[in-house]
Amino acid sequence: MVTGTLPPQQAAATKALGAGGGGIRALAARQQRKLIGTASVTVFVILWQLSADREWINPLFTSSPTAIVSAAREMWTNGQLGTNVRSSAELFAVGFVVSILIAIPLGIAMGWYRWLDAIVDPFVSMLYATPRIALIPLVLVWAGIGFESRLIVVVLAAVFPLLINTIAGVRATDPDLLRVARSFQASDLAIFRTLVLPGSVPFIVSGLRHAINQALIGVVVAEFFGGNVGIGALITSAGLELRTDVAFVGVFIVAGTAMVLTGALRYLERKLTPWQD
Amino acid sequence: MATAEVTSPDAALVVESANKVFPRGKGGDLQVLQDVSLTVAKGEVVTIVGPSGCGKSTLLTACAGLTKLTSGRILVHGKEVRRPGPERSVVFQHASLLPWRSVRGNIAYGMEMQRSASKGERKERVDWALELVGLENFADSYPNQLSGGMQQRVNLGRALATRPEVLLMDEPFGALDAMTKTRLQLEVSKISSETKATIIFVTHDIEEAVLLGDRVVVMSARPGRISRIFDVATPRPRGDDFAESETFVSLRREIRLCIYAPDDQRDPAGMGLVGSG
Repeated sequence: MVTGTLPPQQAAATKALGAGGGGIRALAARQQRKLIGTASVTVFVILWQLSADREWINPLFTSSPTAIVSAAREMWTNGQLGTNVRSSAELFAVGFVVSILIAIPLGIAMGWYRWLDAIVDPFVSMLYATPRIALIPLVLVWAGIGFESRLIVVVLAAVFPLLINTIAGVRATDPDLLRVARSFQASDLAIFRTLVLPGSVPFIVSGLRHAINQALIGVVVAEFFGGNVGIGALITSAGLELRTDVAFVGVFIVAGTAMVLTGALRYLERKLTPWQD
Repeated sequence: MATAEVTSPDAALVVESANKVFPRGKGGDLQVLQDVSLTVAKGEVVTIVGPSGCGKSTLLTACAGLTKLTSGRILVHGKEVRRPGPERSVVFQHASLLPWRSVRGNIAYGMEMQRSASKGERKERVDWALELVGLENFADSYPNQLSGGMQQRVNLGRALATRPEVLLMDEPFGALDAMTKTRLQLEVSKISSETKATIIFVTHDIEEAVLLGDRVVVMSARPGRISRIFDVATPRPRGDDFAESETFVSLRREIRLCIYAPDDQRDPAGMGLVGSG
């Protein structure tokens, strides 16, 4: 059996300490953290720029903030950035949606029907334990170089965290609630609808968060190997040409996307599970 | 709602020589209930008190139809209990509320699962139950916004809203602080006389048992059986003054004696092992 990642609901146990206490003091502490964080990043960027300008480190390796910005501007005007971002975004979106369409229904079914779990779990456990990157040569043999093979790589990366969390969510149904439902003669279907599904939402959302990160890794890796479009391919070819500034543009785009999507999911989580705060 | 035919018009619930044995393999079987017989009249409040491990909760869940007896049977209005039924509702020790439902939604849950009452009637009954347990102003709150005592009120309201003929309460106030507990006891006393429901109330608190019961059933541990039944003649609902009365104090003393210094000899090891594998 593979166990899923616990959703942040466990963190609720600590809320009595945090949320109940000093609201204003907590807010001030948060502000302070943000301020310190901003300052440390600013100092880092300045040092980076200085080290490049004064050639403390060869700028061929480190590039510099200004060089990266001008590279990004140039790539934006000549259309190189737009094409690659669009291609990667498409790969990510399709891969993520396909992963959801596979993982959530399958995970619910595996959590609910023990026999199905018994059949599928060995394969899931094995695949989950394997570094999926090891499968890429095989995927290229099966699907050739192109969108399909890239899609397979992304789905292989994203589907497991979501699948495993969904299974765990269905299994985690509170036995006390089950007993209450039974005492009111609830049917299996009613138990599923009123207890199992809503109870697994926090697990599924947490699985989605992992899936986003994994899918992004999948996109970059797939583009390293499978073709010459996309941010991953851009980073690879920039590396080969020693264009560190261009490579950094690619890296920052991926990093920014990851942060924005994770933030969006956190927002979604608060909307979907308001009972958790 | 049609109810089963009543064979004995006075008896709401009859327990006939109930035995419950948990097989434990080599260590010998554990007899939790031994030859327990009890008749509860319609509208009567019977409290069952005894040390932990005396089988009182097992007896209650057997009445609920959630535990199968090894031998003997339980009749509710002349009909044998095999599974949970709409004429019985359980209030468990843990409030066990659905965290994603408001107070209103939680109180409606029992009715929803039983598929009793029309939508309009359900709403009416929810309002009725909300008033009965004093939560009119918290109808739209979520369980995590409520204190432990209020959560227990919702638990009670959920059971009451199904309009059970027999209300089974399993140490519902066991985990509450003394002040909250006293208030809820007074309210249960009031509610029981308002709704005329038959109540079986399991507790390990002697004062609670005397305060609430028309009769107090004292059970002894290992194997669990009824050692004595006390009548409490004072009419319900009983207020604060009863808790100071001569009757209350002397009953409390007698029951204490019955529990802590039983005149029968118990097995010296106190293991409650019956037979041997």
